[in-house]
Amino acid sequence: MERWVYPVTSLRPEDVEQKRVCTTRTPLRGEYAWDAGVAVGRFLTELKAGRLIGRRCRACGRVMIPPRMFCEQCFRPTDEWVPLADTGTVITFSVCTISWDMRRLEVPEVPAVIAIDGASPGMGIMHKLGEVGRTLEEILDRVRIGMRVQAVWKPAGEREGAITDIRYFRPLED
Amino acid sequence: MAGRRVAIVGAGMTKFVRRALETGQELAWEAASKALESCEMTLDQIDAVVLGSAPDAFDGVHMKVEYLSPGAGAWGKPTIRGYVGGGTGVFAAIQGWYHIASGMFDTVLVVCEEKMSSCHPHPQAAFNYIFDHTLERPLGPNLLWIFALEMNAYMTKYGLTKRDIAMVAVKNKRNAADHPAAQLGDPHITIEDVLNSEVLAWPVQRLDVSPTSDGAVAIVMAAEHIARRVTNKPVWVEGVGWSLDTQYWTNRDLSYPTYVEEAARKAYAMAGIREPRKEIHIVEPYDPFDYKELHHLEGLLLADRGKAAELIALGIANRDGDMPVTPSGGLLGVGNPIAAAGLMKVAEIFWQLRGEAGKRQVPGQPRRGLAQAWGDLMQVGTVIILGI
Amino acid sequence: MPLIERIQHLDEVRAWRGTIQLEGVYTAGVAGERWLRGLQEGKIYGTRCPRCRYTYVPARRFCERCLGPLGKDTWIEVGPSGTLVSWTRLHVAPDGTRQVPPRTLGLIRLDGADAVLVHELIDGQEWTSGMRVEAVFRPPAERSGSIRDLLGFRPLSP
Repeated sequence: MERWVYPVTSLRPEDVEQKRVCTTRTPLRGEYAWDAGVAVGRFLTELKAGRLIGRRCRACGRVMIPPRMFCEQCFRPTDEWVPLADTGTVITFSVCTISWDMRRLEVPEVPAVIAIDGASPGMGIMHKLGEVGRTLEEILDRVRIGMRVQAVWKPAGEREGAITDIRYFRPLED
Repeated sequence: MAGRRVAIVGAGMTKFVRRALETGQELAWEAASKALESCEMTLDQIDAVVLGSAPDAFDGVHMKVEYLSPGAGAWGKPTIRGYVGGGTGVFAAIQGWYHIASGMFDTVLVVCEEKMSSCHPHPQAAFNYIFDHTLERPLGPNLLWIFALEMNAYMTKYGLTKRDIAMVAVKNKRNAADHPAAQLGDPHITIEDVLNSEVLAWPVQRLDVSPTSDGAVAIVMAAEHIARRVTNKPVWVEGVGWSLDTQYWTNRDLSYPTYVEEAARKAYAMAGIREPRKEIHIVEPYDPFDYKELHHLEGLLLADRGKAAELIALGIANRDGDMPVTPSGGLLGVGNPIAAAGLMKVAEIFWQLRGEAGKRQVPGQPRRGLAQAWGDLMQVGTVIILGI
Repeated sequence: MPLIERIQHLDEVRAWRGTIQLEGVYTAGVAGERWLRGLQEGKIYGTRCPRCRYTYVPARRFCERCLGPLGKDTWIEVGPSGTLVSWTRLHVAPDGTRQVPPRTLGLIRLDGADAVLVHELIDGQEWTSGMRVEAVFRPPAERSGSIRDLLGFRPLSP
């Protein structure tokens, strides 16, 4: 099969940086205002008030978070809002040491999927964990899957109706 | 088997590299012209074109496939874009299959391309925009989060160690050392190298991850009456399947790829396969991260849940083992120009079944192989089964 | 029951603002690299497919009609004069603001070419399809191997 492999012209980073080849740079910058929509719009309003809510489908009985106005399994409208706790269980987590553009972070971030109490089992949201250490080793020592956590909210006056109204989730004292 | 019999009759590809001088169009042309040449066909013998490519943001060209089309031989021909994220490479071959099986066309050129080097500051940045804009992106996520979260869920559920998983990276990068198109083949890499590589998003370390790449792959597919004229070694499409899980990824069981199982069951049923572990001789599961190969082997029902690592540890998955897994070297070794990487796996099964894989040739004249890819928001499984 | 709960108060309408921030760094390709270096030298090249008898400008590496390669022997110089095939005047900038003064863009079929090239029309007041035009290059020291090494096209002096 070697005959059917085309040997491309491979460039080194310096070929581009030192302009040995012609390149064109174009910023792809788009500004958006994404509508939150009906279900998430209400969810954000509740976040501003310091509460988490889910949405129940009476056909399958699931209480869903993030909330949605339709059940994608039953393919019918969901039926009612359900108040949820701001506590939950870590389904999984990571300790991320780099940024989105691949720069190293001084203090790692700890993204996690957290199953929220009051929602159906396994219904999680993505957020971050905090108060769990400042190094990879410390964090791995303190965090485990199955750990109980609670939301740490911004003060009421600083909330804006955003997922970041929860600063992070921290370990729940036993 | 649904519809007419369809065979793959030719394949070609570019070398995979971190950054090519070639434009995306030129990469597509290099692969497409090699594929046509490999079966001594010309563009005027092609009825239709299927073009696969992942997010437009990588190449930085909106409507990327329309841009690529001249290089893929699409001028004046019925052309369709296949796009299911990372699952695209295998899905494009499935689209080629149904174009012909349906009776609509007799010959189809399938081309997949990706030029990720265009995307700055890093191709990973393009993935920021797959997260939910209101509930997830404000948290400042990066793509590695989602993989790291899944890998940790998988490891924890089955008590797997980093060492169990690192064996996959070692096997694939070593296999890739024998692939003439490989970007990251390394015959000497060890488990320690993987375990000692830089932590990116624990448990994901640098050598657990496939590279970003530029490259293209093409195959030629034909209906039976054409295939038998073109070649004495047609490789038949015996089964296909694909399935999508919910986009609400934080509501899924992250330790098991149900969508891959659903896709595999469809493909096995179509191919008349009852005991996949005995009837599939070579597997090319999608391996953008080392744990994904294990995850997918389980979803494909080729290993019990949580037990795929044993196939690697016992050497069963080696090229000379009972069920060779990723003999090409996969995304981890050959490279990962997203859509092209998936079609590379299809091309590998094609070359292996024809006995043309050179130094990578699996012994014992394998007669049936499976290629699988995965993508969208970690939610699609695409499966194709080929046989001779 | 209705699928959509009606939003009663405008302050409940929420949108999340964000920016997609990426930069494309594009290589010109194997043919493009050579073509732009040609512009830098003040030359406009095309590639002619001997089989399809079609000349591409900018030069390409393959013929999209037959997928045959267009190697070094197919490179020919075209222009620098040509015929204006069509033109437009832009009064609105890409961001929606008024373009002052307006820009004029044309499609030019260079002498010896089949494909047309899009570029700026400069130094002219009246443009008509079919009129003869010629390429205007930047001074050599200002050229960088870019499509902008060509300033544009102006009416061909009689």
